[in-house]
Amino acid sequence: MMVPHRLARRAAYSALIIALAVMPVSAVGAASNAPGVQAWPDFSGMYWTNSYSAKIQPVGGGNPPYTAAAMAIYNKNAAAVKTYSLDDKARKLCTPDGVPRILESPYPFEIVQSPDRGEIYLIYELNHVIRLVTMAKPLPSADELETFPFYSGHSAGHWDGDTLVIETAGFNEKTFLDNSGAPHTDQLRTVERIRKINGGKELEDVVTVHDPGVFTKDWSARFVYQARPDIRIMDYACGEKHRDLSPVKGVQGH
Amino acid sequence: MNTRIALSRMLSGGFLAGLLLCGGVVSMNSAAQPASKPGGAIPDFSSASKTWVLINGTQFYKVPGDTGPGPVDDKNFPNGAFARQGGGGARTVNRIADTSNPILKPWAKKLMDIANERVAAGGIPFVDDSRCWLGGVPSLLLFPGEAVVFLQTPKEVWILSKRDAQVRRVYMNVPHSKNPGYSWTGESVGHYENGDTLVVDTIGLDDQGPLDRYRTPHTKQMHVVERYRLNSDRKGIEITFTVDDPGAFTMPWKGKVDFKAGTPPRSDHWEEDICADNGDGYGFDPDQLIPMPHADRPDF
Amino acid sequence: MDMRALIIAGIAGVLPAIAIPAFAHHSYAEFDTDKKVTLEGTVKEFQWTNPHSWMLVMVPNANGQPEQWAVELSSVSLLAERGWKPKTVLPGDKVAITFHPMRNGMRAGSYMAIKLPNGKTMGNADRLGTAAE
Repeated sequence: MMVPHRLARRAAYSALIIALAVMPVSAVGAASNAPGVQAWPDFSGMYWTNSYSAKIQPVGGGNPPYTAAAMAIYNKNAAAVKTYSLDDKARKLCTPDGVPRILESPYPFEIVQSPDRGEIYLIYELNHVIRLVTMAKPLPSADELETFPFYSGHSAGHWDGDTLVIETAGFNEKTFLDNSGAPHTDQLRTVERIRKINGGKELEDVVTVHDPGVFTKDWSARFVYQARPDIRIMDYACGEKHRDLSPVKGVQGH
Repeated sequence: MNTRIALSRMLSGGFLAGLLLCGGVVSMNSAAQPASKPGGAIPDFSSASKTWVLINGTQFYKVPGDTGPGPVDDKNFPNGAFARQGGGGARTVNRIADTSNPILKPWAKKLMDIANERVAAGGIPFVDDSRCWLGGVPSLLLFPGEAVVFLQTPKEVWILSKRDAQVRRVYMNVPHSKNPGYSWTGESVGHYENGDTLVVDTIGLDDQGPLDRYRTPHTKQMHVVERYRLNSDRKGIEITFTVDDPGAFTMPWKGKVDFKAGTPPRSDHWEEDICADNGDGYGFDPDQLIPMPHADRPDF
Repeated sequence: MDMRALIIAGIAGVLPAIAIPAFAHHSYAEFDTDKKVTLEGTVKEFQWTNPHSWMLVMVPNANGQPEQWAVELSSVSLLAERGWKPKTVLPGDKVAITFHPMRNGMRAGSYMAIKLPNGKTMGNADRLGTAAE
């Protein structure tokens, strides 16, 4: 049989002894979530979008499907954004943007995979946001999500073939849905489907947004990032000068 | 090598190939974590969802056997006595720096003496993580009470502090860049030694924050080498470091802290903990507040 | 922000380089645990945060002007154990809140008990001399 890589052959020999001892047959070749046993696709590395839109763009165009009441709130917020008078702690105090707003970020981010811990971390340069995705456990109970709401919500993920699926719930109400002041409630839940596209040169994140508190139905938005192994994520201190965003189309002033 | 191509070849090879897949692909996956083996090259700070927490209070200690003066200590409660003070209900005493430590250059000593006077007169001492500042190096070692997580890959090690989601990145087995610039956490490069130690070498540290809770300043010349030694029982990490900053100090000096494996309720797992979430100093004179980092205008 | 400049500014007589541990654990020494105050007012905000939650209550002063009082509660985990939820109290709720006042006379204190709009009481309004929960 083919063993394509010398390192793999050496590691495989010792791993084989362990594997024979501990691996259940059902895990062979299967993408399970048991840490260390399955083969995770490798999404690790740095990513940076080259285009930005403050207003989140639903797939299919138009506005997110707001209820009438939510639309009124949105219009108020959007007007306040224009005069810098929105009480927007993500921009003023650099609290986390939340999801899906952080997906819009014109700053880079990185993905760190730890099969050993059963965890994937999405670490964003903007506001040094850390999203922990637990791959080995389901989402916490509804009671726990209600009692411990997070800016970034609680995330649980699994692999669906080559796609990383991340479910997030348990959001607090201190964030906006996007950079134009879109509102949401604590009923917000998101599902992201993340996969490599364009020969691995890009990463696509399609996020489905569910929030009956503001929307009449679920809807999706799509984000694409370029793989950027040539950059390093930088520190982000609130109020200081940050990296040049001119490579990102659509950022104000660029 | 494309991991996925290798996968499909192995899958077609049947059961035995599948077993090799489980072992082999873990080693080819650049994101996989090298498993710790007895006498192996890489200490394992990360697996089994390990978290770590600072013990013995928020200060640097002298390294046993160090013949130098060691870090700045407390003037009134030295040798760890400050950390051992009774809490809860007892009157708080604040940290007053012992500025007779010969490591301090005259300008540094002068600034610290002034800060001491203010604190002794009833002012409340500046603590970086209390005002939501980013931690620096080595000051981030002193962020108290909450989980620290290490993520290890062959090219990079991350040290994440739950307390306000702080991130340090250590680029493994590479030299420093020619012009790393200056930032809060600087540029860290690292390697492993002795099978039990992660060595982290940091330059490019900005000079804005204090390096400890005694308000000890530093300059951009500061160069810090930390050694994270995993105890043989894997329940503790001894972190010793050397600070070399000819701008602020008369000589290099050493200090240490200890981490232990995290324990509940707040230090045994990761959860979100955002400093700027908290009320901005309710109950105190706003004129006495150093502002929390904030942006008057969004930068995009 | 140049820390050295702030300290140096202290030499020139501007207020010193001190800061308030807004994030760090308040010492209970800052609260007068031998005293208690009960105020009736309207909740402005209930901040469900760690390490301490805060309730901001607008209370009319002697001239009838509403003033903000800030009451510090426990961590989210401890509150949750005692039956609190993020929305146990909402902006606009009329409450009577009992707390240990700050020694420095500022309009803030450490939570002891509360009476909610529906008449339900939580906490312990009688416990003096120990750190509030």
